[in-house]
Amino acid sequence: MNRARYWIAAAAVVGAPAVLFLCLSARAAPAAGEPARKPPQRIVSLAPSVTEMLFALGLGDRIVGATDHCDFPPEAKKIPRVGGLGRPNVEKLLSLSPDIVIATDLERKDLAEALRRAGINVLELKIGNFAELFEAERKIGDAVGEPEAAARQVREMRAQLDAAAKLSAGVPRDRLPKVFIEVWSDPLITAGGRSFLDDVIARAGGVNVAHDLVQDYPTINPEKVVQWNPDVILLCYMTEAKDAAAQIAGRIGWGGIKAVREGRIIADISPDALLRPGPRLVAGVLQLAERLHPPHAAQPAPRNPPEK
Amino acid sequence: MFVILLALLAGACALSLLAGPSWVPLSEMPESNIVRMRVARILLGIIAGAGLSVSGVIFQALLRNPLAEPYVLGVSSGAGLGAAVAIVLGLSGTGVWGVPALAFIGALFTILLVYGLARTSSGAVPVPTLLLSGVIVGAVLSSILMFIVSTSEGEKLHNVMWWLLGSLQALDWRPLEISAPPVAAGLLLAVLLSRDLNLMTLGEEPAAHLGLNVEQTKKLFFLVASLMTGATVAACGLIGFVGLIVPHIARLIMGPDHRRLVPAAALAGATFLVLADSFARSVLPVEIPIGVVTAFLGGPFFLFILRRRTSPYWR
Amino acid sequence: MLSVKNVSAGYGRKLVVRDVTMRVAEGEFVGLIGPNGSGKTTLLRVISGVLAPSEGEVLLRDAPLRTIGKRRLAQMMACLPQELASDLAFTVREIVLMGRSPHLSRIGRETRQDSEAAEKAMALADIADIADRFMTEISGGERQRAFIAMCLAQEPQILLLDEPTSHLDVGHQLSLLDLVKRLNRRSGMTVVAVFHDLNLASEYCDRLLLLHQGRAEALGSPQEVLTAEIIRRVYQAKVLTEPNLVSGKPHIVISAGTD
Repeated sequence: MNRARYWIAAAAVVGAPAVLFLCLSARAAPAAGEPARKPPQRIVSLAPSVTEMLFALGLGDRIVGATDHCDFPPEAKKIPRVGGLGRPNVEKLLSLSPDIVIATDLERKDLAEALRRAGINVLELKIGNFAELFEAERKIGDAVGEPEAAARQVREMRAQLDAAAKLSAGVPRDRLPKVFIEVWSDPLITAGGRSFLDDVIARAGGVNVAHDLVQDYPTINPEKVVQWNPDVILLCYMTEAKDAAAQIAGRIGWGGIKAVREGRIIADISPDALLRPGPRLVAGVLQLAERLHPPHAAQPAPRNPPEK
Repeated sequence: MFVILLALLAGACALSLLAGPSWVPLSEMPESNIVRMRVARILLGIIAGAGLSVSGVIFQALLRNPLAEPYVLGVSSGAGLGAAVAIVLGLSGTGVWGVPALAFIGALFTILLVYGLARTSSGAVPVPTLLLSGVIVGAVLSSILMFIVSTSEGEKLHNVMWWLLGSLQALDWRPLEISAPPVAAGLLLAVLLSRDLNLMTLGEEPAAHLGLNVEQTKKLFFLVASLMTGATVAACGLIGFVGLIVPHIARLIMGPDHRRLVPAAALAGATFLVLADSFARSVLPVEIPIGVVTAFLGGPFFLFILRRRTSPYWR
Repeated sequence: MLSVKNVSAGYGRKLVVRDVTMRVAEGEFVGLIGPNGSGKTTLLRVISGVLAPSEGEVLLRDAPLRTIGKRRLAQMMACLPQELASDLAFTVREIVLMGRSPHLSRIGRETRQDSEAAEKAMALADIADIADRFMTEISGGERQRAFIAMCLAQEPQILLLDEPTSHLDVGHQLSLLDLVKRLNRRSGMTVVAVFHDLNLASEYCDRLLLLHQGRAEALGSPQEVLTAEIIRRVYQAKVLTEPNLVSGKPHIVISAGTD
């Protein structure tokens, strides 16, 4: 058969199953979990932030399963493990006979449905910014039967955020420090406008230079950082950033950036305090706010890092 | 013809200097920090492009197969595995030598393993055995790499995947320090011994009859080509397509005589990669991994050349 | 000139050539004949130096082959293989010039002298008119002659040929062998050639070595070797031998078998 007919036939052969698939997959979204009648006694947490929130509500002893990363408070380390972040070992989970499973970003979405079909209540949370964090706190409170404790938590968190906001009160918007968030160095990754980190920076009284980028964690050209010329560089690696500050000062072409010239590279705020969307995050915001807007008026003396 | 290629390379470099997310006025040109960053990337692109292309030429000559390319003997899997291990162990980051070092070690380990497995008792390395050995070792190492990928999470996963797609991002001079010496040495050797490569394309026996010490030559060239590849991979990650396609493009233009083919491939590869990098970092607000760009641009371009060929330079 | 002493050789554990001894004088034209699998090509490969014998040795001008450097050996001996690469995008001239490699240093370039040697070789092989054509564009016979020219460009003292006429029509077969014979007679170039066709071997060779299952079955002039009895024993074929009507050399006459 000639060329044109071949390609039309090929498109049809590929297109038919695709269309069929689309039709069949247009189903209603599954219903969210119902709050239990009596407060659940056996809780499985599938995220470190959830574990921290549960402990803050005083329910640490009701948690029967947690992820490998749940390490705060120290008592959490004693809880049996069910797997990594967002990817639990289903058998282990089921063997713990939980009343409720609380999760954020599940890697496999159908897992929640599967658990519900097995009769387990599943609460899925989405925590992308502070508003959603407070909402999550409330939902957890309702689900575990401690709505007042949850509300108290939220009030405390709000208070801390207000304290942080006060530090930058009165500073006009265009004088707020520009912050470059370095999530990873190799390749160079920053946090975009829709990420939680962006919200953290904003609440701490700073401006994320990458705010206009749409992706949550885009990989960018180092040139852009030179172009943005941030006042502060914040290192947010998931692991500790050991000698990173000195390394950054030595990067090709970065010598002229304001943050490098003035030595304002923040590498000592614990990653858990900045990246875990839980109660400690507000403490992290406060810490950051204090660094961005030091209470006293004096600025740190500018240092000249060695040029490469 | 060489003049044209040189001019193309110069043009590509000029374009690359100008291309990027920000506009640098000509008056600021030499001193600007941004320009210095771009120069670093251009140099890396030239080295990696030349290294991968000439490596591809060598493999195609020795294996007498037009589908041969620098990664055919599993070097990419070994280097990738080394890099993945480094990343998972937390050894990556600016100024840390963990990833390039382990990637290079991985490449070296793979070369020695593949070669050792293919060697006969008399010390000869038959080409079909070498190919088979390379494919098998590559597959096994790839599977270990995939295992690591499947069990790593979040950031580390992203890091590994990025590395596997290649990048010319040069935050410091490390990548250049790693790749420049082996590539330069390899290029020099390939240029000096190009006639031997010509003889090898006749077949191993005819080459031997013409006085070439075939086994010694094979080993030398494999070692050189693999080291060039390993160094490039250690510096920039896995940049695919260049080592396969550029030799063919160069052959279509210059013919199969390696005395002209090797320099032509080096220049063409350098130009191609520099152009690809300009594209990778200026088209979108975010960086595109360069392996994506080389495949995306290279494929159709090669198809175009292939359809228009009237020259008989085709294996 | 060339001395093969008790050579046994093979691949892996299998011996294909067993205990073969032969001397080739300078200027001789010797043919290697025998049924398929009798070890002709293997023996030639041992003589050319690409295959090491498991027993015995080969001497070239009284020097053991393995002590002669590869380059030096290629300056003295040229070999035309049976299988020829047909996908080479080089021109004929470029291929012939590769024959000069043994005379060039590793990184040296060709000189005027080399170009002249190549031109001479191409003239001898009668391919001067297609010198600038690509190897992929010429016929199988022309390719064969190009490779012959490449061998001749080496200016060898001894030429080895492995079934040189297998891809050629009768006209080209004869012209090729005539060329080789001429060189053999006029410049004293020694020739050792593997033949499939017994009559061609008979016509052109001074002496023949008949191999049977790896062993030297007969060594001598065509008259001595190509007898009906020997051929029946070795090839299991019933033939007649008659003197060739033109040259008087033995000529194998075949006829279709009955029942």
